[in-house]
Amino acid sequence: MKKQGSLIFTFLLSLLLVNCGKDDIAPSHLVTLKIVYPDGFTAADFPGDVTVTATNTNTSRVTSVVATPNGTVTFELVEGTYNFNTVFSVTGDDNQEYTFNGAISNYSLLMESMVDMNLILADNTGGFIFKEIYYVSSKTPEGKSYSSDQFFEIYNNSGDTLYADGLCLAVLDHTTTSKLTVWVNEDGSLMERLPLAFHTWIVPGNGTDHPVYPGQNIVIAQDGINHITDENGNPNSPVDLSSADWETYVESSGKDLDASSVPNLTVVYTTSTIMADWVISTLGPAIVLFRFPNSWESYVADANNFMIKPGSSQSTEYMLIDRDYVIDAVELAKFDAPEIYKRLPAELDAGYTYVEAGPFSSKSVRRKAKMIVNGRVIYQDTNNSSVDFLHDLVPTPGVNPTVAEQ
Amino acid sequence: MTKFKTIFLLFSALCFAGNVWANTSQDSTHSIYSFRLYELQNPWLNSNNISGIIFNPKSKLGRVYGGYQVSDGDFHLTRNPSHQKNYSLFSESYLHLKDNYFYGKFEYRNSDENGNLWVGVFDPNRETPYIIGDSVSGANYHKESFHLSGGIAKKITENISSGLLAEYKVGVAAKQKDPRPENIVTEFSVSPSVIFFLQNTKLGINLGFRNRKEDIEYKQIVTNDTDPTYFMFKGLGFYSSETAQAYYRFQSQNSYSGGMQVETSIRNLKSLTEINANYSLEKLSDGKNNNKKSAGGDWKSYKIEFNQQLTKENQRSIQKLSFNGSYFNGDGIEYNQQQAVNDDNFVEYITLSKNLKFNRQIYQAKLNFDFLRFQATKKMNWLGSVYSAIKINREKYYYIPEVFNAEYSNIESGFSFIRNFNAPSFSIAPEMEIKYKYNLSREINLASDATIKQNKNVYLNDFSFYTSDWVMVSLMVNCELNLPKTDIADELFIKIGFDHWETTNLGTQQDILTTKIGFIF
Repeated sequence: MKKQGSLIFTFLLSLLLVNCGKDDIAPSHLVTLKIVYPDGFTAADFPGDVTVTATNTNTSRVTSVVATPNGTVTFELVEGTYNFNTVFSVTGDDNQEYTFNGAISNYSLLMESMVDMNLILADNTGGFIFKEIYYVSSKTPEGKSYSSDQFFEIYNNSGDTLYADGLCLAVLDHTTTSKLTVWVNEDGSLMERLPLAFHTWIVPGNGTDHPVYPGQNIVIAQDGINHITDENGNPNSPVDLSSADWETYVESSGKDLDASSVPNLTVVYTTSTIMADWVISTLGPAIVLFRFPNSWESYVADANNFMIKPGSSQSTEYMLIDRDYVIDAVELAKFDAPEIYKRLPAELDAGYTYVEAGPFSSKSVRRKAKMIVNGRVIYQDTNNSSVDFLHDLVPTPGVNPTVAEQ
Repeated sequence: MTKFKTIFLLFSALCFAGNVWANTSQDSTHSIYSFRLYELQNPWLNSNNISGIIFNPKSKLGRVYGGYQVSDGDFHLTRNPSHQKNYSLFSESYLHLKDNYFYGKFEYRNSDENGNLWVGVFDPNRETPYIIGDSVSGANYHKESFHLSGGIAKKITENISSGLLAEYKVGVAAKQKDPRPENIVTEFSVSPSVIFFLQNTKLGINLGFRNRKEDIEYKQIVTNDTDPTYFMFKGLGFYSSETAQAYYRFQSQNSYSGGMQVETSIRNLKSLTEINANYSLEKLSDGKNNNKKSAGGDWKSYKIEFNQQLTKENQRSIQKLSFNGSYFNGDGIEYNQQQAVNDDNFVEYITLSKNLKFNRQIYQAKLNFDFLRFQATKKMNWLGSVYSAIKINREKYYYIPEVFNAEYSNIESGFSFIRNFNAPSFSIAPEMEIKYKYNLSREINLASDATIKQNKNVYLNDFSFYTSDWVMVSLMVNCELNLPKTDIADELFIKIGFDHWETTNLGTQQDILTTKIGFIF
């Protein structure tokens, strides 16, 4: 019987020893980033104020390190997944200011490593930009969701007269940044072409019908009414869109409100025939402003410009556009999600912006006023919405700030 | 719930049928304190070895009662209710038929809770720090649970007895306000055991396996918000959050245990020494489709426990000195995961690494002394108990490069006294208990960086609860009415008790009113 007792003790001890092995505390690793200028750019030294941030996607903790003159940055970070970002400007020999973005998304730091951070030149030559985006919508006094007051404001940030004719507006497929998009290559990188979801809209015209002068804007409303006072509106809505320039009227649904005083955009293509109205994701869409290289009719007629969603059993075809067509794009993220999976490539938007107050909070995002020249606001446009945009603002369609903003 | 009600009716019928059968062959008289007497006389009932029921002093004992309890007050953990009312049905019995010894228990509990915050789990008081919750306040949390327990022991030979205990629990719960968590808990355990009879010693061995599962599904029944926020707590108030119209979490825990008992006797002094070890691993996954993630972590824990009971019994009294010491260690292992598109073009989470993030250690020791004086009829005359316990709790969260921690130590002492007054056809037993807890030490180090997601209010409130000094006074009266000799029951009893808890340093208090009515057989 003593033998049996010994056996039991042995069993109990082995139960503890085998199963109760200590797991390791998360180790820290060194990661060195080598900042690399795009092809065609050379610089003797990097400016002294190039700061690279590392954001832990799990804890949201941000670590910042200033790059050495030769463009290397070394972090000591706890094991995890990180987003690395930088944005800075240099003045070239031609006295031009060049803005560069660097972004590495969802980098898994599991050991000491070296990574190249390839810079992208921000194409901030002026032109049309998204000035303000109101996508989170509002709530009615009864507490119901009200999305008909969404709007986009497009602004001529250049010193030239531009024409709105042929401008297209669309959102990318995938309604949230909290889940990885399936529109990726085998190596996990985003596909070269951008998949558009729901309705794609175009400003009608023959090319010079709708001039937009420097410092002027175009407001595109979902419904062009005074949402505060209209009987179909919502007294809690923060916006009067009765003087919008265009509205996205979904005629085919037979359910959308058609404001008679606001002209309608033209539908180019849609992946949904059942949408009553062009309601975009209140969790944060990825939006693009673009132009087709030729007529939109010929583009839509070409089957090569369409593709079924990868992995989908449905036959819905999504229209794809080249990145080159894009004039401006903004990644709107789901703020509180543990991870943010971007849908836009870094060359179009190296960062993201968001409304911290969340859906139906009646808040908007708006680009920062970089400077005011002769009364004309020039908005910041580094192709990095993390630094270009202010968030959680009261929407002000058609109104420009009177002072420059940081 | 129809299924549960059917189970309850069947089980109740079996309890009563078994009792009638037993009474046909043997006559006996019991009181409400017979169960306490059983535990004092048979120390194996306080062990994890079901085979020990063969040492029960009498051939049968049973009770069935309905209970109602209402509690109210602001002295409670954040996730526990400030107001609760519940009713319960309870049945428990021991039975000896020929060479077989049976044990059965059934419990049904139906409760409504208010004032519990940041919680979406059925039982927030288990050791795991991985608790999902929401910020919705003012909601009623309705809970129902069934607990079935059945044990059998048998003398196989002169020198060996064996037994088996099986338990099954099921619970359902739902908060009555959107976004509402719906909880379904199932728990099954089985514990075989054996006792060897040696010359002057009895050696017991038991093993155990337990599986617990909980489905937590946050739904919206009345509202249709797109942005409810769910909080995935991870210990020391750290959390991650997510907004979604609905949320699903699944928890599964497997526990393995083993224990050994040694009983020796010298004259009328009986000693039972027991050592137990338990290892448990709880995993959880978030999400219903294939793209599941772990927004919490694995909870890996073990506990080692030592029990010593010394019992001295003679014709007039029972004296019992018992000691319990235990060490608990729990590790929270969290995942570093990332989404990836698989070969089938579906998005799924892949695990890149997992690391220890949270550790909890608990040291506990308790010394208890009971003195029971018999009446001439061998019923209890009075029972006095005194105890003292110490608890040390240490928690760490590795938020590398920082390590945040909290620890405290408490000492708790108390005594209780029951006096049984007998009349020919009834008896009254007033009972009083006083407990006092004093905090010996405390230390807390939480994050000061506002960008770190740590709900300090929740944690500090709970820390204040654990480290508070309090006094508890409990008064109870038990009335028993001797029933005419029938085959059904010996006594009808009514028990009414009132507990009052009051902190001496926080100004908070809690009151609990308990009533029970039932039969002893």
